[in-house]
Amino acid sequence: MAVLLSDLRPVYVVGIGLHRFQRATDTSFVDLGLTAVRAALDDAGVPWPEVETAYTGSTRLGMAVSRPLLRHLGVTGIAMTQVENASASGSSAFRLAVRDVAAGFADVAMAIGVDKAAPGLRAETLTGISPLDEGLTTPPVHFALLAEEYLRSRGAGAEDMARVALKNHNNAADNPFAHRQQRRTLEEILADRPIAGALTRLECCPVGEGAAAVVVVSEEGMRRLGIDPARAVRVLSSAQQSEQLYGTRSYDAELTGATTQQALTEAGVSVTDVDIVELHDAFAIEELQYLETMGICAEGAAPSCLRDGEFAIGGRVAVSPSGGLLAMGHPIGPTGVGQIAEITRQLRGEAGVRQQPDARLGLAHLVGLGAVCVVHVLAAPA
Amino acid sequence: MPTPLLPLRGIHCERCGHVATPVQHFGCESCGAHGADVADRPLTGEGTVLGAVTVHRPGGETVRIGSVHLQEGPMVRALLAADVVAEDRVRATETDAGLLFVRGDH
Ligand SMILES: [Zn+2]
Repeated sequence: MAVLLSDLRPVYVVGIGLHRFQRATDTSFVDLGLTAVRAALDDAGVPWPEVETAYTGSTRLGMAVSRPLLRHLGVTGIAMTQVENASASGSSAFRLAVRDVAAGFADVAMAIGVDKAAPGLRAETLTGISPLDEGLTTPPVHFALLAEEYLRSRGAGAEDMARVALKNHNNAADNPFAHRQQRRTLEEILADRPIAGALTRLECCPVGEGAAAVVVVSEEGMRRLGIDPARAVRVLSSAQQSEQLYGTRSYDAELTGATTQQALTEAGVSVTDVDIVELHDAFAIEELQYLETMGICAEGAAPSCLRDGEFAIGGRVAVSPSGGLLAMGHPIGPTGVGQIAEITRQLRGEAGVRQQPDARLGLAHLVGLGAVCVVHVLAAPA
Repeated sequence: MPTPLLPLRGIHCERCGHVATPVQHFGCESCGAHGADVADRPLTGEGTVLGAVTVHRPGGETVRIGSVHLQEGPMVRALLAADVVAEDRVRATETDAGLLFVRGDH
């Protein structure tokens, strides 16, 4: 029988660092990445030579991204691996770092995400299969179609979806690392440039550049490096699944439900105990769908719960207090690591004006093209 | 010579009965059967619209795109005639712009 993360050594996030997610600039990816890595090492109080392995999530920088970035910290000869899993690249990089520490292959590991805005090449376009909808179903069109079905079948309106963007833009306005930091009104979001169906530009995530990094350690690593356990956030579970055949049901939502269920079960917690959720809200409709399939609220209840403030900071469960992909931004490689940074900040009680009161349990979720889904559950220091 | 769009074609798995489109020879996504177990078959091109949206393209042009649940099982995304809405019965036609689903059965 396969082991679970909880059967292995406890793993803790002890350092987080970010470079702001932002629109494309001339900044080298090396500067973006080093800013995040140095911030994470400083936050952990861990000198670089103590790091035993590094995983770097990246999608549009080509091959072999780790060493051109990490050599400037002083070469140490450690194992370095680039991880590509579309939108979930950073989440998968984190998962691998966590598993290395849990299994005892390392006491100190780093997960990094770094990316620049550039066209990405998708293997799906190289299969030789000509889809009927060649060039037609871009991601906004795909999610606009899901939105149309969702809103119609639940008797909900465009304003119910726009409230997702409203909450997340206004959360990001207080996040210095967010791509979009402007406060918005519901009217502004609804009246913004139409993209597809009911989706406006402000209900679609910005894809720019940025970086994020986290340090994960074992208890032995924590003792050896003199790290304060009062700021150490435990990783309770790590689940990763890929798409199955779901007929006409939304594969993103079905896959999210199954992967989240696995992550919660393996963490030994109930969905009702979750205080913070960071999820894949690349398009506003996703938040409504996923909160339902995750079991955070009942089927069909997401629009009314959102309207009642249940998902706001200070509500029943804070959803995307960082601003989410919609407003913190989606530089792709860094996105998943950025979620772990936000949840760690929240569970340490260090999120300032964005702090969810008494946050004890956080859940990070990303879907990547393919589709793949990665979910982590993290717990506050004891 | 470009391949004609109609009739729409799909693969039918002789082992598990799964029907999928577009045609490919790699193997059945449902059960993994391949080779002679997976047959290339014409589809009726008729189905029901699950969702339909107007898409705004750069330059101001708009097109209608929908999810069509084909009679044989697969769901496809395609261009729709301007008047098509969700839950309409539609059929595939071939136009200069490519495949287009219009209202009505054959
Ligand atoms: Zn089959």
